[in-house]
Amino acid sequence: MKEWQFNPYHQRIDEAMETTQTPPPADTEWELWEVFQQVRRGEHHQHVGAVHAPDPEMALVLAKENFVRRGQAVNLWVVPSSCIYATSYEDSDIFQQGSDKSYREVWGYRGFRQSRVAKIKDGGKDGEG
Amino acid sequence: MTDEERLQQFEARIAAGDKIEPGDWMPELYKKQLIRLIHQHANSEIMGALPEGTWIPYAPNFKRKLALMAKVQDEVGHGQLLYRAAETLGKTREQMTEELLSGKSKYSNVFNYPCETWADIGIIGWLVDGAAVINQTLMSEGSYGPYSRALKRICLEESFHIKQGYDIVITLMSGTRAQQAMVQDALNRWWWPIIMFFGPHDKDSVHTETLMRWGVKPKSNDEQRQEFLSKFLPKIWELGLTVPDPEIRIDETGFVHFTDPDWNEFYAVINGGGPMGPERLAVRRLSYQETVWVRRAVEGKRVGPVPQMA
Repeated sequence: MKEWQFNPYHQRIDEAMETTQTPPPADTEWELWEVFQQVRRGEHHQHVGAVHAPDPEMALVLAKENFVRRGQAVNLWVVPSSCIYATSYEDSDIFQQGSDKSYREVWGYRGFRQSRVAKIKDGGKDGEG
Repeated sequence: MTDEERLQQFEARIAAGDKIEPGDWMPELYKKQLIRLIHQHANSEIMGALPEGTWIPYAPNFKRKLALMAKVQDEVGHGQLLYRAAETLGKTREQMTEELLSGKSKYSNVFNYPCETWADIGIIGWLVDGAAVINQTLMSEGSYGPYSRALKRICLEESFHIKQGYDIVITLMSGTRAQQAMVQDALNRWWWPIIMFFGPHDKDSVHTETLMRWGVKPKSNDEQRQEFLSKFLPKIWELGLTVPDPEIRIDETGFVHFTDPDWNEFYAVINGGGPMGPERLAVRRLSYQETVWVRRAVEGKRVGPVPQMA
């Protein structure tokens, strides 16, 4: 019986060792595309990362391969990264709220409502405090 | 603002658990170390596909073949995500590709060892990826936003790699004596490369201090190694396997005592002296050279002569 031998030749190691001692130069400088994934219909697209590609079709193919290998998606967007305009983290104070704006928040109305309703039910009076 | 004040602000943000983003001010050393680290990590994902890829044609059945192909494909995808994270710091993917192909930038030593039998695929998936997940889960809590986000995605996929490796090992260990011996042999050969996977001891690690100070690396090499050993040793023993270290034991505090690996080998392999070092790079170069036509086709250019196959 012929003895079984491991054959690494499909990786062509011998050939590689003989022919490719000098590295080939990198030959792509593809544009960057930001990828947005929509998990279910009706939901927002969400940013998941970016891919390099020479055109939008290829960017979509690569986005699918990179980001939807598992999990689900119903739709993908790709947008050239150069088209993204962003605020600066340095200026993040623009998001700070200068004064008390609790009146525009749900939590600004928490708690005391229940006790006021209870008072009313008890026949008590509740005036503006 | 002076650089001194910026640095203080930067360190305060890291201390508060804030993520640093690409446009933010950061010390040059932080940037340099991150580029080095993420670049090497990306290289490792790409080169890691080679030892396992060797076994795709020899997988014992179709399901194993599909699983192994999926795993190898995952690794290459992880490489893409990580190169992207490194790019946000200003180094191009092309530069990183060139440095990998020329041997200038490193990748994990563990991929410079040969993959001799099918049991190696089990041991690599279970223990090498097991070690990698411990490392990457920690690093995913790190301070640099793009790297941290890439790692979170990667860790989800790596858990499948561990499961498929563990499943191969369990299957072989419940098989014939010869199959069991094959697993033991694989474990014996991979043990020391795995112990060295976490890098030199803290006292000898040149980069650890900077990386820990700025929250890139939440735990040191030795701490990660302990975490790995205390998690996996009981599982190894449970299957009736032994590790090739007569001194190894877990003491009553849970601390694992083990023999120090041969660190000279570690440094020799880093510098290209690994048993498979030159072959791995040569195969990577050949593959890059022969896929020129794919990159051209993707660009919609004329493909030109297809490289001659031997």
